[in-house]
Amino acid sequence: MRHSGTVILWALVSALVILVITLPINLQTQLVASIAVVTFMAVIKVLRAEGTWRLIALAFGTAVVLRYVYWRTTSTLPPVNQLENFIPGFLVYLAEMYSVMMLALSLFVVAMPMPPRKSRTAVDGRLPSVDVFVPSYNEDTALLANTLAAAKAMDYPADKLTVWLLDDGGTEQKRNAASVVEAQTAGARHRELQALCHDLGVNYLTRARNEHAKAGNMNNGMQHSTGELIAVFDADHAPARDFLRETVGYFADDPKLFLVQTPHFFLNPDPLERNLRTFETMPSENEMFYGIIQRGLDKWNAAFFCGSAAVLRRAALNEAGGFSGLSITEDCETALALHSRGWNSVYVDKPLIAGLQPATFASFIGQRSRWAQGMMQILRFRFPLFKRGLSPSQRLCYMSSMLFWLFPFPRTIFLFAPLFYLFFDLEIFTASGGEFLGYTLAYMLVNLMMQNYLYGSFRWPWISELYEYVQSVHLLPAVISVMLNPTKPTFKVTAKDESIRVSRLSEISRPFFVIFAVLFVAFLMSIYRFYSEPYKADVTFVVGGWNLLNLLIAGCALGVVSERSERAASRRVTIKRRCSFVFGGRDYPATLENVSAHGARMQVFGLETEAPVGATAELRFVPYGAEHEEALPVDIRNHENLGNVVAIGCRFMPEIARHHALVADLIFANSNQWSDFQVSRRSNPGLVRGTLWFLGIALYQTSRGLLYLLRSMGGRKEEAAS
Amino acid sequence: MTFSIARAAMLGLSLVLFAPAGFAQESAVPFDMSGERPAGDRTPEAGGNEPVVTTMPEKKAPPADAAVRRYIIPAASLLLGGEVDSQSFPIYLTKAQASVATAIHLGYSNAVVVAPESSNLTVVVNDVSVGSVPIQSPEGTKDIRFDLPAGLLRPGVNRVTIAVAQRHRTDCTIRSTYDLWTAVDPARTYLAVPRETDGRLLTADDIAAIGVGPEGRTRFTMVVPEMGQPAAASALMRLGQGLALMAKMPNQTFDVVETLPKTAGPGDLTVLVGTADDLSPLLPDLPATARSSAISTFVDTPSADRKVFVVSGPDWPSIEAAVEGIVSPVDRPPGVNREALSVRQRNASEMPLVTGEALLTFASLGVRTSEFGGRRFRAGFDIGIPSDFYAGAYGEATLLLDAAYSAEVLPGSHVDVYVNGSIASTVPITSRNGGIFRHLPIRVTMRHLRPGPNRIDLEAVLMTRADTVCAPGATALAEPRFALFDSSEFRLPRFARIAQLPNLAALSGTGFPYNGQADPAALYLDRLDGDTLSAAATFLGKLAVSSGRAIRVRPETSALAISGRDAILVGTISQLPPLVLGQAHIAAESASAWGAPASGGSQQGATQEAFAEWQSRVRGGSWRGQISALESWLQATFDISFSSLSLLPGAETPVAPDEKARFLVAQGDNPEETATWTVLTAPSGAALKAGMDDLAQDVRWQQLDGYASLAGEDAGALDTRAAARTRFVTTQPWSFANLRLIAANWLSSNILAYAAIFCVLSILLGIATSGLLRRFGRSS
Repeated sequence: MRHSGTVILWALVSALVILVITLPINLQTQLVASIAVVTFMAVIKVLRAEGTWRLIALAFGTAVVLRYVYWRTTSTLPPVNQLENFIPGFLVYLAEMYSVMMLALSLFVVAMPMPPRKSRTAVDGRLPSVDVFVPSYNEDTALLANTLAAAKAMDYPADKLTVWLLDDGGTEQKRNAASVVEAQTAGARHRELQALCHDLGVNYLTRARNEHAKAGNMNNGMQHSTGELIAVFDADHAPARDFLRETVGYFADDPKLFLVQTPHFFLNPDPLERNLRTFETMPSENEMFYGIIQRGLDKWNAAFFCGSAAVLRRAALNEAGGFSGLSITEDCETALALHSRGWNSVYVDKPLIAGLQPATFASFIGQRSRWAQGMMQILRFRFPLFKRGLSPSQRLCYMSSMLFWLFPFPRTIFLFAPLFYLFFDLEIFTASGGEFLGYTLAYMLVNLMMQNYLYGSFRWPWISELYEYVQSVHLLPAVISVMLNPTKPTFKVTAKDESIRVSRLSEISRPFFVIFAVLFVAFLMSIYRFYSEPYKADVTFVVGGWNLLNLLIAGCALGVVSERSERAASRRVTIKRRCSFVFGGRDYPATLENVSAHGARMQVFGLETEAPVGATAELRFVPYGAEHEEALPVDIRNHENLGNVVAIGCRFMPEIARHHALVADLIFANSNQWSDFQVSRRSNPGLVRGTLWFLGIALYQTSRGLLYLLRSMGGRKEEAAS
Repeated sequence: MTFSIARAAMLGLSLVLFAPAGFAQESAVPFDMSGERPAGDRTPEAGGNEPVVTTMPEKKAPPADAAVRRYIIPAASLLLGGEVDSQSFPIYLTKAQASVATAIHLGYSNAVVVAPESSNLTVVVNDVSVGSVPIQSPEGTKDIRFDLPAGLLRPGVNRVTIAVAQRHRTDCTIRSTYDLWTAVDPARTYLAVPRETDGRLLTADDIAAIGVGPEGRTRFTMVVPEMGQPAAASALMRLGQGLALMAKMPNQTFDVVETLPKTAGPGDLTVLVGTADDLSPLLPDLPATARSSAISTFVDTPSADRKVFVVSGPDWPSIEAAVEGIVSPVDRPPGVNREALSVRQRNASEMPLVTGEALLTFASLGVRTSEFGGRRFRAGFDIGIPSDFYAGAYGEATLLLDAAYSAEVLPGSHVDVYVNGSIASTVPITSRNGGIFRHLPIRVTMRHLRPGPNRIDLEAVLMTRADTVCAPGATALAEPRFALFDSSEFRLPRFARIAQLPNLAALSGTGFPYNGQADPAALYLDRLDGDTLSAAATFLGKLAVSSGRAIRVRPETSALAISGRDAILVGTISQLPPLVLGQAHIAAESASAWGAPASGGSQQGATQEAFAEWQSRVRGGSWRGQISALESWLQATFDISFSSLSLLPGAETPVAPDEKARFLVAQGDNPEETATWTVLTAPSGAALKAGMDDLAQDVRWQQLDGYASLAGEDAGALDTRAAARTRFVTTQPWSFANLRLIAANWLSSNILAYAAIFCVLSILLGIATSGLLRRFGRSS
């Protein structure tokens, strides 16, 4: 082995560290060591030391966590003969050990993530032929038109680019459905999309039966196409012009490359971001995954396929028999299959598509249930730890990705554990106040610091906990059901085109209010017991504090399930682009301020005549990759005089297919705007500021959630009265 | 080990000390109940000229006066306090005594607040209750007498237990239970044994029945006309240890004198040692065989009122052979381990010597299942800890408690565990509806354990609503509130074992490092006079009992001749060589200053005192005050002091005994740091003897600790100086598990070192991991 010296040295140092960690030292020593480590880590963090210091900080954290594990295992479990304490105590212990294991796996994954690759622009010459698959099930025509137009407009030689709409909503099975409404709808969709595709110069393909869901649909597409590479975009994922230029080149570098994955960038907020109003300021949930974890996976050649925004090699897929469809997350399963056959993957950390998040909390949960259940199915059917052909590091990486989805269990246990003590007086964690300080508090501090150190600018403090909590409530039953019945879950398409017209409580919000109420009673109980039982005030203080933390998160979640209405039908994207506004036969110079799938706002110079609302006009601009201005018909919706310029809001009135391409060009063509937007949100508030900020949000959202609840109860009464 | 073997051995040895090999193999060590010695591993050391032990028939009638008193309590006073308390005492009886003793006498007084109607005193002999009386003697000592059933007393060790149950007359608070006491007067508590009139012979092993005096003391008076002879010193030291091992009483002292004392009371034994020529002027009845061979026997005094023990022979070598004949049956060969410490140290129950992982049930430790209806319940047991115990800083034992409490008991009550009087753990009772603890683990810190015997007490403090109200008569309610079950267990984990020197606690506990050494230790006596020899014999006697074997010593006349050997040095401070003082960390000026009239030294002490007082007065505002406030907070909350944060141990400060000190024991290394020197010194010979006599009291002996212990003129505790810099001495075979535990203890006592190692290793791990990650996976 080439690096055996390094390995031996590392093993030696690790053995020493383990030896020192497992010494049964006394509490005072532990306390002093904890203080030293926390101080050291804080200094490293404040100095923002990188490189080797990063790993030193992580090593410090790991050592403290391992000490906690040693202590927790040897000293804190309730005696086995007190079953009423031991069983819940052991569950909490297991939950903690799961957390520690996940920390270990994620440390392995992200210890030294790949730095963003330099732009690897494919040059003309021998470019491979590419088939673009846009699988669709029930998405509406306008959405598909944008995506297809954007795909068609990608910068790639036209003779090597074929775009396919793989329509599963217009299959023969659907068109001949027993239900007449369904059959008619499918028939109409079939005809409408065929026409659209014809206009856009895109191939329309459907099949006889809806077998194996999305995987089956794409395998059908593979049978009808021949390109060397296959790019996959979800129906709502519109690619930027440079998508293929940025990705295809890697396939020439490595003949065993099967996948180039790019991040998913979303134009609209997810329900949490919308309801908490953090979309513009805080990094999105998936940025931690795409910003760090995929880069970490990439280090170990384990970046996996995420269903869309990726390019795959046909030869590799053929070898594995196409896309795998055993689980409902065919993407990860396919990547696992190909990795185990010795194929490689690459992750390009640059957003090159823009998509949509599910709009309502219910569909958000639906989407997450599918991911969680799918990952559980893969875990069950293709257990990656023992999968032949994978390298050891790939096994760990895949295990990390799969096991992550077990989080509803520990999250639930941590939620209810304090109640065992507060309501039933069970002692599930035997430790004194001093030990709590020396071990548990140090562990928690170090944990928070490590998280902040690793993910600080991608994930703010306590946000992970919030996301996990809001998902756990509904994911726990889903995960349990897939464990009991691994073949049962079927592929359900996540709805992304819903919108919320009036503020209301989510239809699945009730459990959150119940849990909040229980935790609130427990909170009152902890205060009561603190004063009425002074002889165990220290335990009550610690457990009550833990419950209070749960209560804050549960309160914040009330805001998450209280859906705010959204005015704009679809999200506006800020751009700066010159154009001209043609009205009444005259050209006016103008600058586009923002655009959405439906309309745009621009500042027009020199427009003196009144532009009446409803009047028709034209927007002229030079599309990317074209040489001449082209015109897009619009309706004027509003106008506002700003002195030198007039701000005009208008609505696109696409008449022909080319108009869709122009709209797509306005919104999607420039990938840099996605990166810029993401970078603008990426700041690390730090532990203290982040915690205070979260506290504020939590209090405000609790009140908002309760207000919505009152309102909805009032509304119901009115309904009942009328 | 069973009682019967000891008894058989005792009977078997009644006539001859040196018996043919076969007989010797059958007999075990007579007075050691530990059973640590497998039968048959002893080889007789007798050579050709075996000394014959004969016994002389008693010629004269005893004085007509009353019975002999066999005192029971080996202490100057006995106080039984709290709501329940009991003490057990072993009492060794000869066959004759056992058969004729008919009654037990007891004198006691008690606190006024003890309610007679609900308090009583019970005497239990050999697990049979012989009587119980209400406690009602607040005005003065009251004598009571319990008759003993025939056949209850046995030859050999008997166990006498005095137990009290006491209730307050009016008060129901926990506090009030501390006001309850019954004082048993040792001088009026005894077995009445009629003077032996049956003409029975006294035998050498009846020495074990020496018992205690009215003050609880046991004294061997050794009459040695030729004590100045170096050969005598060697024989005396060996004989003294043999006698000490036979009697094994807690407070044994030796007086070495030249003339036969006139009288001897209970607890006294006179031993004459010398050649037949030397002894014959003192003892006309000296057997004629002494002129031809070694003897050891009881002989009547010239006044014929008592018997004295004589060890004699034609010359000193034969006397030494006679001594060997007495000592070797009670000695423990090297390499044989003990399972228990001497049974007679404190309590009559077994005291297991725990050398590693052990699980001991309360039943085996002598704690009985008991129910309790009062406020403060206390029960305890003793365990022995080896001298190389090194787990004080990190170790935790576990007490698996089986107990129950009734619904009456309010939350806020608690069960506490004390180790050697220091609180080691508290378990709060939190349930309102009563409860049962089933093997509830209580973690007990091992920091208060020390080598030798250790006392572990369990105390339940029970609060009830009835006690808050405290209606008349409420103090005496009999309804049990708390029960302790003897299925409870005490679990000691495997602990680190490495000896540290200097360590006077190990010396007092198990005689370390002199115990079990192959080479004899050097014994340096500054002069061969009565005081010095008495002090040395008393010290070695204590050491022998602690060690469970006779320590081999070789007298040296010059401190310089000791060189690389372990040594015990006894002498007045002015006579000790400066080298010895230096090695034992005794300030050189003490040689002249100690015992001299007070001079400037005390002035300096006063200045320091005043300075310290001022420092504590001005503490409030200053910056230094803040620091010391922080330190005291740390100390109170986490038991961390700034001194424990130092990276390297400091040097020992030399001990300069002040004018109040009377006696000093100090320990240090030899100059090469390969052996240990223990120094016993005092300003004068008389002070040396008196100081050692005082130290021989078991209570004092157990206080020995650190690298130096000073006894003052008052009866207060010893002034001990903790060792800062110690030398490790391996006592166990090298093993990874032991090394790990040793490291844990060392790092737990040098806490900054741990933090430093932890940080350095973490940094190394970070660097190593970084190196590893750069070489594996995709490179950046």
